[in-house]
Amino acid sequence: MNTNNNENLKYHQQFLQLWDGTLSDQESQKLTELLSSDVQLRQFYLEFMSVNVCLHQLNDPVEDLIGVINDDQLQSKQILQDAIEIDQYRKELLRQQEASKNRTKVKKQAEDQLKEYLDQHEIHQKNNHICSRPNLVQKRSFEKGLKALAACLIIGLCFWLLVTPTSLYDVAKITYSHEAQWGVEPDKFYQDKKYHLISGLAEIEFNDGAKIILEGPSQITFESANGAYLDHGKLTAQVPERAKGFTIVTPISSVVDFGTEFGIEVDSNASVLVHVFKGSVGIRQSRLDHKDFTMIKQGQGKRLKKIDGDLTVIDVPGKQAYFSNQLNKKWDDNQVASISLYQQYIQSLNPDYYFPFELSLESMEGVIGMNGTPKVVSMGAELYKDQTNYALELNSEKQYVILDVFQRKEKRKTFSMMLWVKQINEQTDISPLLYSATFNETGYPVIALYLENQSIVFDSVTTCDRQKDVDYILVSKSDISPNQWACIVVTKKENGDLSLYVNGKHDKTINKGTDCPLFGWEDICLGYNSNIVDEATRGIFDGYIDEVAFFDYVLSSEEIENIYKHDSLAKNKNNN
Amino acid sequence: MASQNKQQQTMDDLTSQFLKHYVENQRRIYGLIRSLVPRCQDADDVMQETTAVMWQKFREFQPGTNFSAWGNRIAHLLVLKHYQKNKNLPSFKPEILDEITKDAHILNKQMTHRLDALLSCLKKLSSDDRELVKWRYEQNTSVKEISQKQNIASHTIYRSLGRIHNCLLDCIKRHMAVETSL
Repeated sequence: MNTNNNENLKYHQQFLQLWDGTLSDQESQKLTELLSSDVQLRQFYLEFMSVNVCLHQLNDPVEDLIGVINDDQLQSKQILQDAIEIDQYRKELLRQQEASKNRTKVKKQAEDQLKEYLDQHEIHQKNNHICSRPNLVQKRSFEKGLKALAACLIIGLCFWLLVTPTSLYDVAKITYSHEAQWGVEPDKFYQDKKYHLISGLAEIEFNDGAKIILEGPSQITFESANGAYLDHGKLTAQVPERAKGFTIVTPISSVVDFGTEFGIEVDSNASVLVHVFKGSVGIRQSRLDHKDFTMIKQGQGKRLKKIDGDLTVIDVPGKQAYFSNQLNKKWDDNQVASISLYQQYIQSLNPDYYFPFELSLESMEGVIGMNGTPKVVSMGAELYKDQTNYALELNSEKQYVILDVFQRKEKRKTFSMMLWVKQINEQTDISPLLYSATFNETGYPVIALYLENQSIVFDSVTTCDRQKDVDYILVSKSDISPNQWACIVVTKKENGDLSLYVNGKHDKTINKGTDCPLFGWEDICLGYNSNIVDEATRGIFDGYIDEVAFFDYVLSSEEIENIYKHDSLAKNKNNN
Repeated sequence: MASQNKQQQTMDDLTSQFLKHYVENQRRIYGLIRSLVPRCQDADDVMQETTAVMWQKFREFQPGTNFSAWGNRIAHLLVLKHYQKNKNLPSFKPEILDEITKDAHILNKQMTHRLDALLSCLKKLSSDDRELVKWRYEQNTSVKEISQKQNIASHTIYRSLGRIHNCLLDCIKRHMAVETSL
């Protein structure tokens, strides 16, 4: 791309016309082709779009927001508009509250303003429901949801005004805890609320992505989705790139992260100890301090004290072990070693993605993956320690798990997938193990793996050509015994061979004479078949699933046998 | 009855959460869609469908994770679907759409800063330019309508808007560079 000013102007003009739809199809096509081939121009285009979106939405976000709803949904538009206005109003009141120390006065003022607002907008509360406008026909769940939402906001606003003057926003949550005792047991952490961890450890994830391990006794106030005030106590922080800028404020300093791992302790004399394990952090006396940061780099430690009103920084030896990023303490060394052996072997096979389900479901983000970070989304499922290692526990109460692998790959013609499964008790009904669908109009399944009459069934419908859909059904010859672990591997070759392996041995191969791809984009569900809407016939898997892995190539028989052997050495699922 | 109340409460919580996230992130999601589907009507169709799918699938959204990223993934897939359905539309290749999605996601993260910068930069425009921006963006008047009202050729207005855009973009970049260096 030529970057001179005239060129820029020309492209800006064309982008505007593209946006307005005033370019001819031919010109649009030409421009999109140019954008496809020129990385620099594409970046320029994105920057333009970013500015244009800001310009279009800067002055009237409500109008733009509801502008996307069709005219035939006028009732929904009105409800949504009400809801949005109420939400904005609530935010404004929050801002007013923050700006004033005289909370009672503001509260009274806000109550009056709310009453006036509701009267003006003819919004009335009745039995916890917003009064619908006349002749409102609830055709769609979306509309119903919007109504409930508007009602909820009004109720929430009144509740906030009358009962809870603190923030309504939760900014962090507990992802794991070890013998943690709290002053008041929190379910979530709300903005500007103080929490007291009396003893034990708690792993807490902020909404913006940073994770801390707080060690009791500590007192902490969550200031935002990306920062907290540590009054006293000790914590370690792991901050991913997206949460860069994560800040821990202490009584004498402000520690700003630059993408790192660090530990911080505030003692009873308000002296602060900071150690950086990875990356670097910057220290300032306070958030309002505009002086340059004092940087602490990897491996360094500093003791911060306030002497005569000034922040004094003293070098101390770095010692990571002093800080508890060791929730892993609950693992004994041998077990860590054995799991590591098994995982090393799987890693050596270069999986596309791999979910070992160890430690905690919430810590699964960042498992092996070449592009992006697939992660686990638990829908009530938990980990359960089975013999010597942890596995995913699923039953009607424990619900299911989604492996978030959105956009990871195009459909593929070759693949291997592996999982370990142990069914509790014998079941003759269909027990869904794994399900993945493409995001197409019909919602056809691409892969469904289930247990039926003690056999493994792999069912798949190809979607590459709707006129020639091919249904693969592969039923194992071997019986899968209840209450015993079984290692299941399915491979698909480019020539159409679809093979099933049970406990390291080849079980069956079929070929439907098609090279259609089988693997799609959609998330992968474990223990749940989202394609069957009827709860009664969907089936429930009652048991354990572990070591789910996907490969974008065909594993050899030897590799599949090795997986089984390695597991017997490392994790003892193998019953031999 | 208790079960009904509980169900209603769950629904209320769910809708409240959805709105909170949606209002906070819809600009970002819409921004992505506009980058992938530049034409307004098409983009609005995709945005509408995206909103509906997000609402339908909201139970699957894990609280605490990135709502905007989640919405962007859905939007991305619906853009692909939109292009599959409307094969005659000028469109990017799927791999380019992937790249744009990734880049737009990075840019969208800075949306709040960009908005702040934009507000500041708008003040630096000449009064004539500000007037044009007001017509086009605040009052949402089309270029064609401005052209008719002002008796100026459309391409002249596009050229002016292009120049204003260029100035604003430079100004925003400078603004953000200064902020980063602080």
